[in-house]
Amino acid sequence: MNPGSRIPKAAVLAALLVAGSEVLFLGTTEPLTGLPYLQPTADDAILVAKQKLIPRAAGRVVLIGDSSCTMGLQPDLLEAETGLPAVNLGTISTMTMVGFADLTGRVCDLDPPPKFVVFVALPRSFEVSEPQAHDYQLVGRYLTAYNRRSPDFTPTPREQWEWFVRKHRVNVFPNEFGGSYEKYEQALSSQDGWYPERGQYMLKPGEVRDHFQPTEFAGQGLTRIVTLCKTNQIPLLVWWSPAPADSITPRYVTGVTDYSEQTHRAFPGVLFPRATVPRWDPSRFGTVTHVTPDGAAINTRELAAAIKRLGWK
Amino acid sequence: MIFTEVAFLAFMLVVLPLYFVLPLRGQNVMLLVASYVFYGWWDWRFLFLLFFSTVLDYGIGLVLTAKRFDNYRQLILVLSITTQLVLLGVFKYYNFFATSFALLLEQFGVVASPLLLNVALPVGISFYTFHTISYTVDIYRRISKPTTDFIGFALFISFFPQLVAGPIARASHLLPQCLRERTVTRQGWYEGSYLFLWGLFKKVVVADNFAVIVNRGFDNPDQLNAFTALCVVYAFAWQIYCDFSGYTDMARGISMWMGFDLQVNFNVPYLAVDPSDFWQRWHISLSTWLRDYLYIPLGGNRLGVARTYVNLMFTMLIGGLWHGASWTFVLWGFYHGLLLCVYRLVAPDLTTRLARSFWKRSLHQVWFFHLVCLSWLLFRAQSVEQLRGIWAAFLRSPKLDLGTTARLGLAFPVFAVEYLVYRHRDQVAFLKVVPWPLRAVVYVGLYWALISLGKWTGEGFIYFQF
Repeated sequence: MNPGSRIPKAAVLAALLVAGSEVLFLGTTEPLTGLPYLQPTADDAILVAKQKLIPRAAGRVVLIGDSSCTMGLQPDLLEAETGLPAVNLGTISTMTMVGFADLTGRVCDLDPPPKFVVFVALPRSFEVSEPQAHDYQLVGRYLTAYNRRSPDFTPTPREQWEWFVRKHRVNVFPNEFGGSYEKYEQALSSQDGWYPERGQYMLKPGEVRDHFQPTEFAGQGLTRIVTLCKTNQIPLLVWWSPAPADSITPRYVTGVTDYSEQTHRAFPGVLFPRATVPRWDPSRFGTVTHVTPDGAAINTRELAAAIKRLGWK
Repeated sequence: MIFTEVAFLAFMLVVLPLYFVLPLRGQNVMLLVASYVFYGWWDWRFLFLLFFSTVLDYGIGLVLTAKRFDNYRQLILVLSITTQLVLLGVFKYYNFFATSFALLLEQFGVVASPLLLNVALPVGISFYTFHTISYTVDIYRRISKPTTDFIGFALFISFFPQLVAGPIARASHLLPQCLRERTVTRQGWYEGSYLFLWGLFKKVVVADNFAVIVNRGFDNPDQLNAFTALCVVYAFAWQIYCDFSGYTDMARGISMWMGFDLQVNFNVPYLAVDPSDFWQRWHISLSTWLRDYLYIPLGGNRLGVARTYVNLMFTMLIGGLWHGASWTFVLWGFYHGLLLCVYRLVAPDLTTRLARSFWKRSLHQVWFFHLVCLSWLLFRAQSVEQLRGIWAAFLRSPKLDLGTTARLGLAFPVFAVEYLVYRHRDQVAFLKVVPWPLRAVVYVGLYWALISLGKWTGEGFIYFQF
């Protein structure tokens, strides 16, 4: 290369300004997203908002799980039925069992620790494999953002890069979640983590599940949750979320029953008050995975009844 | 491999350091291998086709200047062009013509089931076919001399920055650069980097965001109304411009890093006042190619008024068909041919007349931009039904869509910056005029736009399919 000129002053200043603005941005934003400057996606919003609810789990009943937990159990109603204060830390299925186990670990570290943990999920959350978890990218980005470690999962460089890029992205917050993150967080906070499903249920072609296929990856996550609760002497029960009757076959239900029995045999301390996934009338659903607010009330009362039967206080 | 992919970054991290340590011969061998790797990334089997085209026209070039073949020069040229066009025809047009012919026969009650080829279209075949044709024709016309350096020639055909989407290189311009020592200057590096960054912005920030509006509109024309349909049309006009000119800018930028100079392919096309002006600003390398190798050999405007119009229509029809094997592209070519003919008939000296009147010129520019937008409808529609669907949307009562309108605002900085560059004649002159602190702020803005608004999903470029 022939020397034509020095490095342009504009390029030097631009590089300094980029570095400076990045330091400012990364230093003043929430770890996972560009909040408070940039609106997050709906998926990221739920994680950020639920992070803020973690301190409320101290001394309470904690509901952890996928989005069927977020939309399907009302802490206020649970408290009214059982007298036990609760908080819903349900997130989203793409967090995978690795993410649910991480949240369990975080609530176990609270002082005082939770009264007990209810793990709430649809069986499909037990069907997620490790490659799928990497494809979803959510748990990889979550672990990267909050500098968390999981013995079962290491974020790939692509996921780490994706965290950086998505943190900077300009998003339009969906209207169905209130139109802005601030309103969404307020709604979640005022209901201790429950969020109502306002959708209209319609089963799409190809959505019927016939054969329950739990993965080893999900099994490892469940084992981690069980171990964390056992180590911290926190009682754990697993609560299957209901599914629309037309979305799963009897064979699928049998598969889930067998899985519950096998898990209970392996970990006798883990209780399954619902032996399998209940098949409910589709009229109680807003989507194939979320019950309506009426469905959530029924689901919560059934959980409350199960807790009372167990005599847990 | 796509310029916006991580794989391309890795590719360049290997190519550039090697380039700077090798002597000319080594650089050419390395660039040739790199170009074949770049091309083979899509489908290695088409490398044979590229190699065959290269060998054929390398040989033809030498034969055309051999004294003992003087009496057969025309025959040899026809042989070369025919072979290249047959290859292009088989891969790109055979299925289209076979099915169209079968449909025509059906109109006469004859049921035909044509044998169709189940082959993918080799990426960029139209571009490198035109490269090779221009080489042999220029030698035939004794404008250029053939090269005996096979590596240099093969590099001219396959030079990776411009192989798959142009600019369509002329042998007289690019071949000498492949054969002689190239000078890489720091200034070239800076300009190349600016061009690459600007092209990247146009592609991942503007074109790929507009693609979302366009795809949604064309996939569901029933949900559009007159206002949103107009937004979709505007969005496509800017999507295709930013996609294609963005590619060209990146290709030129990458070439500058290695001391190559590729032809300018765009010159603020939406400032055109008439079709002739437009074709001097849009895909300049194709329009000049069609002018020099089709329109002028057909007689151009030298054979009378009627023949001129016939030549214009024919050239534009071929131009349309060059883009793709579909009736919508033929219609697009026909429409542009018609515009050229009508403007030539009604306002032959419009550009000169408007040169001094800003307001009149602006009105004509806006009017002609909308005529071009109409042509983009033909270009983007994948079927005549889809086209009808969009047309029908224009008849529905308009409803404002502020979100889409706001997103269309992304086109504004592109237009503003390119207009300023145009006013200053070229990139370098413009960059020198802008105070350096302001330039720095613009670069920072580009960085934040790229990372906050860019779609880093590795979307292909529209012109790759041609």
